[in-house]
Amino acid sequence: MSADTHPLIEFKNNSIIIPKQGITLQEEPDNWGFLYDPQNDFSFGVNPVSIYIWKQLEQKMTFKELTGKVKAHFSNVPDEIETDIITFLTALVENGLASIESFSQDGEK
Amino acid sequence: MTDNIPGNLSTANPSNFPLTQLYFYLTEGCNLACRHCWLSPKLQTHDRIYPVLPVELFRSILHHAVPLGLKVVKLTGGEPLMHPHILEILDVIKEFNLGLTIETNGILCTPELAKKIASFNKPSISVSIDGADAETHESIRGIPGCFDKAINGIRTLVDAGLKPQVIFTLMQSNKNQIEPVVRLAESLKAGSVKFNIVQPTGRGEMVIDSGQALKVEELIETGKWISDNLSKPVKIKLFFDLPAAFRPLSRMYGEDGDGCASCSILKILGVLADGSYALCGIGNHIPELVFGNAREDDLSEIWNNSPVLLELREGIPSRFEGICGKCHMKRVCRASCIAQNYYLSNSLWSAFWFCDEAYKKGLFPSTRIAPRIN
Repeated sequence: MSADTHPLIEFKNNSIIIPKQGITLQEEPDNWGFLYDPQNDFSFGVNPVSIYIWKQLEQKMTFKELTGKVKAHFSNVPDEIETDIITFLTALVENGLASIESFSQDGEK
Repeated sequence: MTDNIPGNLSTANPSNFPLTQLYFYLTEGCNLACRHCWLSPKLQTHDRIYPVLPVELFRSILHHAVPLGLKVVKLTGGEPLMHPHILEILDVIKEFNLGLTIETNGILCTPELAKKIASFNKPSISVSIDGADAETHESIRGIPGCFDKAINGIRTLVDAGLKPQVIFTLMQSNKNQIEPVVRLAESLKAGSVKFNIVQPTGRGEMVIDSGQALKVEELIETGKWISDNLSKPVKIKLFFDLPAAFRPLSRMYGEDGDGCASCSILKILGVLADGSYALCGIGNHIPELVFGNAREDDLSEIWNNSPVLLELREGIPSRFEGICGKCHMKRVCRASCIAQNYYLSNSLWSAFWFCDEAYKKGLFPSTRIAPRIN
């Protein structure tokens, strides 16, 4: 599925993702880790790219800004990176680890 | 990019729990007397023959299991290839178009059997080898001459186009043969080698109590050595049966990761040689984990209404206790082996002995403990 046909395309254009308060990130020696929601006793395994994205989310950025950051930070970023990021963010929302927040057309968050 | 640790179970509705696999413990007897065997079958000889599951009962069980979701049949023992009608058993599985997994000691594997097994769609077969030489293997397996026969069994399977997995159970007496066994498996063109830990069930309990098994700290160290060192120069795939909490996420879920072995407890049922339906082979030891018998009881009723199965569906993973209740991996690992845990504690929810012992010794990875309850 391409990024343009993803069901959450609206989210891509008009929203930012806000991490849920109280979620902790535990990083491991191989740079993978866990997001943990103590409220629901729910653990979510994350790879190094996902950890990087999670840390960026704390700065409340748009999808475009986020994608740009990922592309700048990592080398050999695959063409399907936008789809991958949307899939990850969708999983965060679906698992109650983050929420979607709309921002206005002029870009004000 | 996402690496969700799945298994969030929100409802105990039976339709959410298809019975995808049946584990058939086909024979009460076995032709070997392995000192660590968790099932402890009786040693069968020419003048001592023990019961086996009748073919017609086997067929009837599959008939009732397919509507419940059955996809794969595992044949184990005792020793499955010792069943006098094993070829018919395989034919019946094929009739139902089911997947096939076999755990065997390999010594009765004939070219005819191997050919039949190879005719299935991606069959999985494992052969136990506990040493790279006859002396080591046979001292563990208890019967002289069984090493050469097992090796021939592997060759026969490979000749039929199969890639058997070699299962190697680690003990003090064979811990120096890890690499030689891997090399042996490579030379035989086996598909992979899996290292098992002796479990404190059945005869394995005595092996552990007498100090013949490796200690938890030795197992952790050995697993790390296999993963970090031995697996690199060898071409064959190696698996070490440490609980998920002790394995890096990148090795399980990263590129070329080998996944996370998890207890299949929510989608399997065991069938013992006498036709009993049980949680798994543990029914040989624990009567309360036997739920009925295929000769008289309705499988659908057992699968959908057995109190133990309902309790498991409702309680996994939230009711796990001890270190397993605190572990990030509990949704996939499922306390490693609930049958084993029950055997030791009479509770479905107690922690896995290995993780419990590692935690008490300060060896449990701190990053796998959820911070809320750390």
